[in-house]
Amino acid sequence: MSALFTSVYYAEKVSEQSLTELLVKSTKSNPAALFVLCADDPLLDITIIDEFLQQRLLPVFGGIFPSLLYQAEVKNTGILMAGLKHNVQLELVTGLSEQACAQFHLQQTMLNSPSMMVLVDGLARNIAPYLQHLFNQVGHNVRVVGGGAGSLSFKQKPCLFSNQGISEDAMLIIGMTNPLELAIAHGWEVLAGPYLANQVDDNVIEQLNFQPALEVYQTAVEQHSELKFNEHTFFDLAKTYPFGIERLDDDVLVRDPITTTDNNIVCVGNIPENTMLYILQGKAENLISSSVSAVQYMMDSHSETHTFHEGFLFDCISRQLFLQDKFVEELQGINQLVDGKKAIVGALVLGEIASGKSGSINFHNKTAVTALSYSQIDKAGDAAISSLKIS
Amino acid sequence: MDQNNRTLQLISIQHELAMSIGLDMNLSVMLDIFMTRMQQRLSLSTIQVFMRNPAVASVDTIDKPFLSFPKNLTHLSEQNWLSQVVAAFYKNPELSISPHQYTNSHWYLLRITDIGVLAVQRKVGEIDNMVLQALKPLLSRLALSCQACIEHQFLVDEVKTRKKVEQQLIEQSYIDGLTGLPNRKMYNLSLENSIAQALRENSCGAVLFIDIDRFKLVNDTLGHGVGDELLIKIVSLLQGCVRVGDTLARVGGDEFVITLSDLGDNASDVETTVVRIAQKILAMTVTPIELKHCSVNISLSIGICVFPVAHDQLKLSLKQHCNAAIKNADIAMYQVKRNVRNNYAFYRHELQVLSDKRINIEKHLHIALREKQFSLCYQPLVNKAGQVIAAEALIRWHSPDLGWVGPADFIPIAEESGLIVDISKWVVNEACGLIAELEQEQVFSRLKYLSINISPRYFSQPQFVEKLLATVKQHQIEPNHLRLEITEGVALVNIDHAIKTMQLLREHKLDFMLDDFGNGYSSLSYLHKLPLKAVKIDRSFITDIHLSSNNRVIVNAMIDISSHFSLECIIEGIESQAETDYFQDKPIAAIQGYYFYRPLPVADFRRLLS
Repeated sequence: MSALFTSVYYAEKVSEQSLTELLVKSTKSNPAALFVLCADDPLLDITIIDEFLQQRLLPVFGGIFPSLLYQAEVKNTGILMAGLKHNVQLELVTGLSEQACAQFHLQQTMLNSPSMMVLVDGLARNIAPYLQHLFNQVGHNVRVVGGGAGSLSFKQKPCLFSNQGISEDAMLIIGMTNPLELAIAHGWEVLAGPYLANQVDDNVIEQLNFQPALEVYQTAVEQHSELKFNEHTFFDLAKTYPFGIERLDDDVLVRDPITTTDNNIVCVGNIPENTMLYILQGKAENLISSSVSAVQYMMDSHSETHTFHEGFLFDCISRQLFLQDKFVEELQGINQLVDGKKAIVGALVLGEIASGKSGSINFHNKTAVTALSYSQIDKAGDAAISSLKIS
Repeated sequence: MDQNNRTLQLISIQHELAMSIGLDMNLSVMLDIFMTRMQQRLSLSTIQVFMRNPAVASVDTIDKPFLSFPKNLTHLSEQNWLSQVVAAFYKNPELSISPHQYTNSHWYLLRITDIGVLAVQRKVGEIDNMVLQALKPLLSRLALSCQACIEHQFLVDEVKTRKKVEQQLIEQSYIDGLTGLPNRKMYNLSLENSIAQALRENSCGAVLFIDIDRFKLVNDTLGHGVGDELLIKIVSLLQGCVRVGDTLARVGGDEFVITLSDLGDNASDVETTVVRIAQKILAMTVTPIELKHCSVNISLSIGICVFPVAHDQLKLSLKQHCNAAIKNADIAMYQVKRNVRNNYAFYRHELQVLSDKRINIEKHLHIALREKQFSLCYQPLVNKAGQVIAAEALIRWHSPDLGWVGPADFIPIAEESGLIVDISKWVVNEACGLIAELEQEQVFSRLKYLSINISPRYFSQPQFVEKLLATVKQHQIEPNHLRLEITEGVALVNIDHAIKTMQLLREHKLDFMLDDFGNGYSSLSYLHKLPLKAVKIDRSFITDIHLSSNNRVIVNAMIDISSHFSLECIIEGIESQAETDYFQDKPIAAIQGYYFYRPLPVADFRRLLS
C-alpha cells in the first residue's frame, strides 16, 4: 500500500502557535515534504508564514488560495498541512509577467518524475507559454496537476509557498515520485457561437466577429438570461456564461470572463487570437455529475491495474460561485468515490492546470481536476496466493 | 457536430492557423508560434518540423528534426523510425500528406513544398481527412514564409558580418590592438572632452605622459614577444593606479598617457593628488616585473602637465588646449629622462626652451653624421708613477651652426633618437683605425689598450658582436688593444643577455670595463656575474677624497672588492696632487684625470706617444 499522505491537519486560524502545533503533529508522521495550503483571508499575516517557510529543512510547497477543500467541505479560513510520504523536488520560476519567453530548464531527475504538481500565481501573465515550455521538456508521460493561487480580489500579491518564502508572479513546479491519474471535467455546454476572436491581447478579448467583444457577449447573454448587464455586476452574469475554446478533440477549454475594460472582456487564462470561441451555459446538476462521473470513469478504466489512494482536488473558484450551496455535493460525490476515509486535499483555485489526453498541459477555467495516487495491482502476487490456497 | 458547425470548424482551423504563419522573421520563432498553435488547435501529442538545410544544396539532408514539441519523443526508436519515414517521404514530391501508424499513435507527414516536412502525432484518435485536406493550402503559405525567413536570415547574417567588420575597423582605428587601451586618436577625443569639462566647470585636470625607460633594450635583448608581455603587464599595473573615471591610453610603442580629470581648482590640492598618483605609478617598478619566463627591471619617466594650460593673451581652441597639454607633458617627461629617469616632473615654461634646444640638436646630429663633424679626443691613463699606459677615446662635436656641443648635451639625445648606433659605429671604426696605425708605427707598445664607450642602445643591437668583430678584423688590430667601457645601465635591463654578449667578445680577446662604478643603480650582486676586466670608480667619489672620510670608506671598499674579484681598479677624475697622493699606496691599475692629462686631439696624443 502506497499512501500519498503521512498526515493531514487543519487549523481554523493562522497564527504562529497554530503553525507550530500543525508542524509538531505533522512531523510526528515523519513526512518527506509538507504541502501547505492557506485560505485567503484579509486578516492573514503573511510574514508569519514567510518566516515559517524559510526556517524549514523539509521541502515545503503550497500557496494561498481563495478557499481550501478538506473532508468534502469548503474552508474559507485557516490552514491545511499535509505531510507527503514520498520525496519531492521543487523548482521555482519567477518573473512570469516580465518575460513572455520562458527560459527555465528542469534537471533530469525532475524530468524523470512520473507526476508533477504545478502551482502558479493565478494572476500572472504568460501562464500558457510557461506551461507549453514545461510540456516541451517533460513530454507526454508525466501527469501534471495544479492550479492558480491568489486572491479572489484579483489583486496580485505573494501567494506561492516554497522554502524560499512567499513568492508572487511565479510558477512552482513540484516533481513527485508517486504516480497520479487525472480526472478532468467541467460539464459546461455550448449556448451560442461560434465567434471568431479576431482581436485578442493575451487574456483580453477585444473583438468577436470584428465587433466590440463586450457588445457581442452582452447581446447573447442578455438574450438567454433575460437579465440586463446594467442591472447586475458583470461577474454576477458572467460566472454563468463562460467562454469555450474549441479544440479538435471535441473537448472545449473553458475561459472565465471576470471583468471588463472599455468594451473588452478580461478572462482568466489566455485566448489564442483568431480562434473560435463559444459562449457556454451550465446547469448545476450537469456540472456536478460531470466531475463526479469523470472520477468514476477514471477509476473504472484502471480498476484492473490500479489501487487508488488519496489525492488532490483543484476545483475552480468560479465553479463554486456558480454552484453555491450545491458545490458541496460535488465534493461529497468525489470523496465518496474514493472512500470517505481517504483524504482528498485541495483548494478552490484561479484556473486549473492538468495534462490532457494528448499529453499537452492546459490551463483550464471552471473545471474540476481530481488527481488520485495509486499503486499497481500486483497480478503475479495475487496468482501466487491463489495457487497457495488451492494447494 | 452538424454539417454547418463542421464547415465552420474547418474554416476556423484554416483561419486560425493561417493567421499564425509569418508572425516573426526569425525562422525558429516563426515556426515555434505556428507549431504551438497547431499543436493546441489540433490536439496533437507531438509536432516536429524537418527542414532541408538551407546552407546545403543537397536535398537529402533532412534527417533530424529542426524543431520538436515536446523536445524529445519518449522512445528513441520511434524518433529513428520517424526520421527514416520523413526522409523517404521527402524524396517523393508527389506525396503532400502521408499518414503512418507507430504502435498506438497516429503520425501524419505534411510536405512544406521543398522546404521540409511537418510530422504531427495524435495519440487520441485519428485526424479527420477533411481537416488534413484543409491544412494543404496552409503548407504552401508556410513554405513561402519559411523561404522569406531564410532569405531574411541571409540578409541579417550579411549585415551582421558587415557590422562586425565595421566594428573591427572602428576598433582598429581607435583601440590599441595589443593592450585594448584607447589609442592616440581616441585619447585626443577623450582629452578634449575632459578639457572642455574643466573649462566649463573652472576646474583642473592633468595629463601624465609615461615612458618606459630603456624599453627598446628589452625588445632588442629579450625579443618583441617579451616586450609585448611587459607592456600588457604594465598596463594592468597602471590600471590599478588610476581612479575610476580617469583615462589611460597607449600613444606610442612604450608611451602611455593618463588623464586625471576633475581635480578641483585648488592648486595645492591638484598637485597633491597628481603627485600621489605619480608616486604610486613609480612604486610599481620598485621590484622587478615578473613575466612568464623572466623578470625584468624597468623604470618609468613621467611628465606632468596640469590643464587647462595657461597661455598668454591668446584664446586657445579646444584642440590647441589638447595639443598643448600633451606636448607639455611630453617635454616634462623628456626632462626626467635626461636627468635620472625613474621619476616625475611637472611641466614648466623653461622646459619648453630646453625642448626646443633638444629638437635643434637632434636635427643637427643628422647633419653631423652626414658631414663628419665628429672627432675623437684621447685622454691618457697613467700608472702611479705617472707613465701613460692606456687611453680613453672621447667624442667631440663641433657644429658650424651650434659651435662646440658637449657630449652631455648631445649623447642622451642621440641615445633617445637612435642616432647613437651610427655614431658608435663611427667611433669604433675611428678608434680601431688609430690603433692599427699606432701598431704599424710601433708606438702602441707603450699602451696596454685604448678604450671606447659603448652606449646601451648600441650594445643591444642584434648584431652588435658580429659587427664589432668585423671592424676589429678589418683593421687587423690586436683585439686586446681595444677595450669596451659599459655602464651599469647596459647590464641591468637583462643581465643574462649582457653576460652572454660580453662572454662572446671576451672569447675573442676583447675586454670590458665597468664605467662610472658606484653611480646609479650600483649593485654588488651582479658584479661577480659580469665577465669584466676592470672597473672605473666614478669620479664623484674621487673629488676631494682626502677631505671626505665617507668617500674614502666607499672607495676603499670598492678597491677591496675589485681586488677580491681580481678586477683591475681604475680611478678617474683625479684633479689634484692631494687626490693623487691618496692612491699612492692603493692596489690600483691606472689613474685618469685632468691633473695628468686632459683629453688630447689625435695629433697631440700621437706626439705624446712618440
